[in-house]
Amino acid sequence: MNRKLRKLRKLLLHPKMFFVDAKYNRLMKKNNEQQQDVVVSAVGNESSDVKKSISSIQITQPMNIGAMSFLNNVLKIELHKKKVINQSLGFSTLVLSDVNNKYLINKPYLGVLIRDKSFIGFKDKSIYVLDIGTSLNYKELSKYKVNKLFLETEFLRQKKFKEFRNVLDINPRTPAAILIKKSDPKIRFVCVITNKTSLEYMKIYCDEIDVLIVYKNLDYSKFDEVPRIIEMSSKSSFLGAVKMALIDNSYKSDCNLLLPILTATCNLPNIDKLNDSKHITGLIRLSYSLVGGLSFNDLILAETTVIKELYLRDNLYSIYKDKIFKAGNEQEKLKKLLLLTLKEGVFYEKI
Amino acid sequence: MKKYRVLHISPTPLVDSPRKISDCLNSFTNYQSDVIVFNDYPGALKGMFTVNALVFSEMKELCLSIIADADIIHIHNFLNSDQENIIFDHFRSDVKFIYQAHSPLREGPVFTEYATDDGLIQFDEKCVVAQYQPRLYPDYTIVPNLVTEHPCLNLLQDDELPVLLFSPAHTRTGGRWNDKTTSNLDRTLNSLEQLGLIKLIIASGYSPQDLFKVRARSHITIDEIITGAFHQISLEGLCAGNVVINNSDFFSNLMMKSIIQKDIDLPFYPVSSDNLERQVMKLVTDKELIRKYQNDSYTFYIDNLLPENLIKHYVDMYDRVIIND
Repeated sequence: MNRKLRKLRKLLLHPKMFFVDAKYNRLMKKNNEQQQDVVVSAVGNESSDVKKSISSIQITQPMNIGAMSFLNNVLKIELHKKKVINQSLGFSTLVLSDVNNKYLINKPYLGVLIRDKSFIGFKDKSIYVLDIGTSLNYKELSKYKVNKLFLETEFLRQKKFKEFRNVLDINPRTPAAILIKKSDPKIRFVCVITNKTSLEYMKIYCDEIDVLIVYKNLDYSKFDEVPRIIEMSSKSSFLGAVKMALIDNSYKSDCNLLLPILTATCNLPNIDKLNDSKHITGLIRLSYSLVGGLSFNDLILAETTVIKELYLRDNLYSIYKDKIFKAGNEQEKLKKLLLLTLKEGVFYEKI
Repeated sequence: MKKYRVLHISPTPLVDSPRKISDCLNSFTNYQSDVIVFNDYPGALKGMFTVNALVFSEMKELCLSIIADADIIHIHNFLNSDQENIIFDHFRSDVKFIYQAHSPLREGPVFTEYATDDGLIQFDEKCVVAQYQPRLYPDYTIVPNLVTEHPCLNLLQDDELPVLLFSPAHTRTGGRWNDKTTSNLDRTLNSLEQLGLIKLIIASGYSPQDLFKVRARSHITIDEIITGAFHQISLEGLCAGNVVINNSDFFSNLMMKSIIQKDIDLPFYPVSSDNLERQVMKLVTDKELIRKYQNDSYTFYIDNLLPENLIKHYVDMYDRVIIND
């Protein structure tokens, strides 16, 4: 059959397809596709940095490592296996989130962190997400029940979260971060509070928080026991505050020297030798020693009257500097600093 | 005078610690005491630490009647909800509750504070073992761990090799207070043995009684030199007249001094990871030094740590809760 006859038959039997498949239309389509290709490749060629930044915006979601839920008095934790967490960075942070990963970037505070890929602590290899759901059942839990829940959850006692240095929760409404923090001595709980509801909720857990990032205008006087409090004056200071907290928690200085916190003379002849003894993380000098007392609190309070000098390692100094520079009664301040550092595990050598 | 009944309850035998307190109460005081252990250790350790204790799963009826008779229930470490409920269903209404922490926060086996004020059981007093633990429980009353073995002194003879005993009790790692050994320590001890300077005994799986017999025939006890704490092993080393090597820090030592209420130097031989080789070498090559430390250990134990004297810390605490009634 010749070509013209075939075309005529197609026009009569399938008029729609005749025009769709027409040579003119096919050409137009092809041209459009080519033009689009040109646009894309033009961007790609312009500079490799631009291409990278475009692709990183598309895959910017931090890795979700699993989910934790609390239903009918049962704590359920499921972690995806074989997720590689980069421990060597020391900045590994677990962020707790109650929304689907896709929408993280839209969250008012969390989104700010996720978008900033310039800081080591927010790079994909450092930041991970645990889905804690929106379960409100946690609210009924007393402190005792949270502790009990922890003790009876074998999963938590197996130290499954030990790869993380920080657990970050923004406006917590559940004790999920506390449960995770309890599972390993190295994990530090960074708690960001921007509203009154959350502040009220966290009151009973104030002794579990390692770093509190809070708005200046909120009344956080109940959180006096927290080792580190960073005030925010506005939302714009949020990013800097979190960075500061993560750096102080995770940064390891090569020298990590013993710094004078309380001293009369600042002159220790054997300071170099003491600095080299890595197990010594604090030094004290007493005028004489006191013994006796019913509890550790009593003893420490007595000791503060005779402590003449005190040194702490650099990394401890950055964690406790707020306590050190806080205004107030010197003896009370010293007592708090000693109790906090001793709880943390500082090894004090007598000089 | 009425004899009050104290009942010690622990989830596991806790390396015999509650039983020792109980035995001393029965021997030296006006309190009558029993021990209930909910579950014995599994495997090879089964039965080793429960000679004078009742195992709940094996003698349920008897245990329940003892719970119902107790004037003071002294709970050690932590009970799970089922165990708590058993006590809750059977105790007398005027019973006093005491809590004792043996293991630290966020380490194993107790990772968190058990005796909170909003719990099922309201504790009249909380106490903690006076070693490194009080810094984690600063509000608790400090109480001593007791050694119930007979003190002895087996001085090193000139023609003898010093016998060094190292008995790391568990292999739990990670955490601030768990570590017991380092590769450096293992290497140093093995080298000293190969050089023929010491006889090294690394003990594991012994019953506490057998281990003490081995210790009594040794001259040097190594506790651990990593964390800055001292443990029950150091106390047993003093009781057995051994040189006790540890790296107990200022505040751990302060706990011991507070228990004996004297500001005297403790007879420990301090060794840290910095001076390990030098300090241990200096000790094992000087028999006179070993004998001096052995004598100091023994004398210190006899003067300060005899259980008949230390039990007063527990008696004072019981008296307080009974009288406060």
